[in-house]
Amino acid sequence: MGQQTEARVSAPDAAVIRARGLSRRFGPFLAVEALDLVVSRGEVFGLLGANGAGKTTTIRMLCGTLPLTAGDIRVVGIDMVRHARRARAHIGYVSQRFALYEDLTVEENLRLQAGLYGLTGARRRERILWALEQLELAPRRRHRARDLPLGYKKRLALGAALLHEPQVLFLDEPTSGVDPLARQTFWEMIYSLAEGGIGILATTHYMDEAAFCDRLALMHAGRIAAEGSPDDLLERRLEGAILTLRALDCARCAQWLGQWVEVREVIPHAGRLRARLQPGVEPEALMRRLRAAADQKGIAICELAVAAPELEDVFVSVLEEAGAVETRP
Amino acid sequence: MTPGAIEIRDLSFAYGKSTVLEAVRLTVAQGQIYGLVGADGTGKTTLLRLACGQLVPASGEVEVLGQDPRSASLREVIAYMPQGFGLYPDLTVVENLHFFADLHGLDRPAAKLRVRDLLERTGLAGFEDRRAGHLSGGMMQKLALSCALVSEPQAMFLDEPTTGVDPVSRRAFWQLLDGVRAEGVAILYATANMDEAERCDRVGLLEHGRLRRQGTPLELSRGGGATLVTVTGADTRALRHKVRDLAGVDVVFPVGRRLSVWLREGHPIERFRQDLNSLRPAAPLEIRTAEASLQDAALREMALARHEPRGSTD
Repeated sequence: MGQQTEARVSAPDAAVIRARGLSRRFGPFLAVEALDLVVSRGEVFGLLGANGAGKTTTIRMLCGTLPLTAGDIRVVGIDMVRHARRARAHIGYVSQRFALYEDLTVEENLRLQAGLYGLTGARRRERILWALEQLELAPRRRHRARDLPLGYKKRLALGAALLHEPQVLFLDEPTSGVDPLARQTFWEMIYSLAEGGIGILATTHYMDEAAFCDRLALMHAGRIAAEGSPDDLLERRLEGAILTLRALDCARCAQWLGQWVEVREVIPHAGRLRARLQPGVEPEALMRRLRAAADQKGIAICELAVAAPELEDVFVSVLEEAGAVETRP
Repeated sequence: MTPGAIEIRDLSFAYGKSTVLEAVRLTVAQGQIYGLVGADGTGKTTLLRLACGQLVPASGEVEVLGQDPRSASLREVIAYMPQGFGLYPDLTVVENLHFFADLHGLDRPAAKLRVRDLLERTGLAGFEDRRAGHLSGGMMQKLALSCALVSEPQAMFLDEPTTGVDPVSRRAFWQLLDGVRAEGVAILYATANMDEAERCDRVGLLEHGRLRRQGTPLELSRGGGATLVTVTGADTRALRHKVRDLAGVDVVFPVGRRLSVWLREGHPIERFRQDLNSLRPAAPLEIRTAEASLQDAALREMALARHEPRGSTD
């Protein structure tokens, strides 16, 4: 795959994480198998996969909290296996669950974290001020963490993880459960950090979070099943074409469409229907037959066309190809 | 208009002094999925628990199939699937299903037929003897839904059933749900995901305990008369601050390497194109009008409501 090669040959100084042949075995179970992964400075990299695909195991190894079975990890050039403490000092980690103190104020939480990172004196004050400003937390500095809306809590956790000026930031489902505007705000803060030169690795299984990343790797069964920028991935040829359609009576039309053997699934989407076709079905010919049949049935189709796939379509098809879909025991 | 299978009128609820829900009104007809969309902590779970009779409203009314949801006669015909629905991990698939059949008092032959039918429909046939604890996340959700369907409910309340499930399994789950809807079941479906809301017949956007807007996904994704355009090309993200200051631009949001831009009603796209090119982008940009999703429309409204296009929010 082109993207993978490109990642491998990028200059060593651009990589904040470089993992080669990363493997982890739990008893007979190989959770992660020979994984190669590079995150560069200024890049937002997304690691995707279902629960059990190996995401968490990978992150734990990259953070230096889980020993490797085999492989090699470098964080800003430092060997994570040999010099875990030194390497870890360059990593910031934001967990999915809020891990700060609910009873402390925003500022107290930051001060406590700064202390844990060993920051003192002027540098400590400077970094706390920076976090309050950069994450737009200053107006709420005296609010207790428990009283903050979820979006602010996420930003506070992010601020705390950045106090020691890490070069790499790990985010675990950073914006699950927040409203669209809070999500947008959070990611724009991430973009500003990336512009400042930090490399970011986010894990998620939400497609609407994945869309925010510059480059994505989809994990399945401990391996990377597909990798590339969202645009690269969208250009992959899918096995089945996708049609988009609008009808006067969408519900009735959806049912009718679902009965065609050529149609693999029908997905309502913002008042339209998207129909994913079976592999090998020729869309133009099918559309002609659909139109004719709809006329006979009295189903009024206002619009029918071939649609571009969405990120989710790509992932679904990659996972299907990888045999991730269990239909038989 | 005929009353819906689920009717909620001016519902309010508070835990102690903190108001959780305020004057919520909604109707779910038979054969409809109503998507209750909101961030964590906006009151979705409380609303579901009130709707299925697990909580008593402070004021307002709830009617399910024409009755008070707490009435005993409804027990058999409504189903509630709470978040992280508890299956018995040590019981097999088929044992879990029979357990729920017993719970609802189905007699043996009826239970057997129903369980067989559900196994076929959900694709769980072949997995009957697998322990629930050994199923994949997606299979687990299917089993949970099947257990909720054992009693052939006419109204269902589902609380974020696809949380933690991968896209493939999520689609399979929705196919199943589409089948349930086609049988005429009324479904109130809570989710934090806009893309899931797109699959519902009607959607209500819950914010701080109030239904800010409701309608069909199509109605809610129209951005007034505003136009949504996407800008792609190398390094578009770096342009985001400058684009915000261009004439006719209401809201700009970068998503990965593309910029989504809401143009004010009537602002010609050609004019925007010229203005954009005058910023001397490093590489040629591609500008396209786009069909707005619920997410795009919600983002526009929320950003405009706060009079702060750059967004400081919860």
